[in-house]
Amino acid sequence: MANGFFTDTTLCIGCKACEVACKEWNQLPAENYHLSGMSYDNTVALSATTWRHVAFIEQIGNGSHATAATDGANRPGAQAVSESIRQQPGPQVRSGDGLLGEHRWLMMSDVCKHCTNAGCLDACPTGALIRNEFGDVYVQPDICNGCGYCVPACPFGVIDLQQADGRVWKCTLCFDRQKEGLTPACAKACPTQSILFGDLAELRARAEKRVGMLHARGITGAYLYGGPDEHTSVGPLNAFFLLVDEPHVYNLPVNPQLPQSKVLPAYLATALTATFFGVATLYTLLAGRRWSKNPLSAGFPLRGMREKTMRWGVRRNRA
Amino acid sequence: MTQTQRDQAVQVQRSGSTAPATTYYGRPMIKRPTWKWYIPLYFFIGGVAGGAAFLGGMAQLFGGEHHRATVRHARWIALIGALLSPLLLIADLGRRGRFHHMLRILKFSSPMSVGTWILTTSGMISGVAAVKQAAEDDFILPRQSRIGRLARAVPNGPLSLLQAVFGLGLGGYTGVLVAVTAVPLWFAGVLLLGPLFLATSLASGASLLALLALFRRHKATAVTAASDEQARAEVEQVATVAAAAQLGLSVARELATPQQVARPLRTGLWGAIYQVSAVGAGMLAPLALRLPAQVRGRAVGRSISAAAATLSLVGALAERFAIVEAGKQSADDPLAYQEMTKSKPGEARPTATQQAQRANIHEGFEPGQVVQDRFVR
Repeated sequence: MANGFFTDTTLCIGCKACEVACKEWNQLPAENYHLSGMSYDNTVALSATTWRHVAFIEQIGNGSHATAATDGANRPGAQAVSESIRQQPGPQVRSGDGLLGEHRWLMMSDVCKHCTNAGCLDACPTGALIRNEFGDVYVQPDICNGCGYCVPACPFGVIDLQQADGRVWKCTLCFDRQKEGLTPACAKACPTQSILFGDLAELRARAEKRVGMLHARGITGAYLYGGPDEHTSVGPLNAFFLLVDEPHVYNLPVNPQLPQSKVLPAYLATALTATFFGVATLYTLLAGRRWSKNPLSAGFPLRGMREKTMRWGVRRNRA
Repeated sequence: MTQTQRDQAVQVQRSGSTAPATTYYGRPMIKRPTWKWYIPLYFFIGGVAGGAAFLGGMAQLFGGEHHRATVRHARWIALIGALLSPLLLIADLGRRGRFHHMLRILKFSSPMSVGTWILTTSGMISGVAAVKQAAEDDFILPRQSRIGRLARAVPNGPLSLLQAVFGLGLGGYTGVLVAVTAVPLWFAGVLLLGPLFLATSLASGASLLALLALFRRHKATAVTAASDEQARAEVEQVATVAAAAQLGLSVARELATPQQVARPLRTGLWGAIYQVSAVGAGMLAPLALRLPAQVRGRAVGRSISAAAATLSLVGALAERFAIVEAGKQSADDPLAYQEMTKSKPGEARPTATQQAQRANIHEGFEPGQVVQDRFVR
């Protein structure tokens, strides 16, 4: 059985130790020093040089849509934000449904999902992307030639090209540490056990138990995303999550689709069209062949063409 | 206008409804394609070469004697395409020196891998065909030289058949390559982009052949002149069929695409370029110019023919660039991606309640129970 991550977002305190540990162990460069205006999230997204990303979602007041489509750059001061959020329509959060009742500050440490059916892996034309002996999706840096096809093939927007380096990078699930029997850096650094690393079967059993526990404690929105019962074409995820709100809130797709699940029908549709063009061209050419047997008869397919051509011939001669 | 009103206006503008959609600060959910201008230009050049190679191969196999020029032109176009295409593709790589890593494997799940081999094979076939053509024409390569004799000995039948088949492959695979991604705009037309790219390839390839036929100097006799006109008329007939297919597939793609997903090709700069240049100039105009004469069984006038062919080529170029650039915009739109990946509750995974029930059945959970940690070293 493969190794993976179970990220329990109800335990995350947003300390970003996972981000730092990942950057340190994997020697990844810093990206920027922008203030995004997106709560405490100045990392913004996973990238070629950021393989753990802690998302922060502020849900203040009754609405669970505190952050709906509001670009960080356009946001006014905190007071005005909470005021505008209060006025926004949205489903009411039942009291006791949230971790803190009315107000919630959700945090989630995002990472490559190491999908069972991985879009990047299926797309890679060089064989640089492989599934390693621990069941995880890994980019071999000595093979990747930076074609970039895996980038739009990832249903979670994880893998990315690093322009300066010319290759794609993403979480390796600390392949090097695993080979030495060590826990990946992020899981090792997590102070609340929000990130757990281990054998997937054990992690899943533990995660299911945790869902039951949370429901018993009144957090009835808790569920596993990417758990063992996933019915998407991507399949169960080797790095799965316990969430307490809709996937969209965490920037995750509800029903992620493996792009290559449609590759055979797409090939067939194209082949069918090719056959149609073959037949249509054949029809035209064979008609022309009949004409060429007796070119001076003004017949099929182009009546009156000879006459017209003769006229041009005359004009040409005059010139 | 208060901030709330502004936010709602953004909502309405983005989703077309007042229902608040949830995104993560409006951030993209997937990464945008990293391809630079080389790739859409390659789609165009490879497409023209593929379409011309197909038509030339078919003309050699099934066409009359009057298609000699068509075959010759097609072979030279295919050669130029085979020389330019790899250069453009390699230029776009992050590590250009590693282009040959594409040739390590063949993987059917990856249209890029399949396409690499289609391009490689069709390139070699085009090379052989062009050398054979040069030898036959005594052009650069002398007919009686050793290589000339060898090249002329290559049988026309299998060579032309391969050139036609791989020409179609070259024209069509790029559409599948683009479609089989997580980009909402492209994936929405997953079954239509391959056929559309193929139709565009054939329309542009046939148009270039028609254009070259127009520039060809006529022989003095009426028979040879009529032969040339006949050959051009046949090529244009194929171009018209392809343009009609292009139009039909484009309309089908529009109908199959939800409003939020289709936005980048309906609005904005690339939307305008797509609608005006690709569909208007590239599909409708050539049909409008050629069809009136064609349905009456007459030859298309020379100037009209030249205009139609040029517009078709410009349209093909615009279509390639618009679809690639609009795809990048589509990747940046979280609402489009949400539209593409939506599902009914409990369809993608059991609902929270179902999961809790399952957990309690399997684990016999008791409130307050402490779970031992066995996982973290």
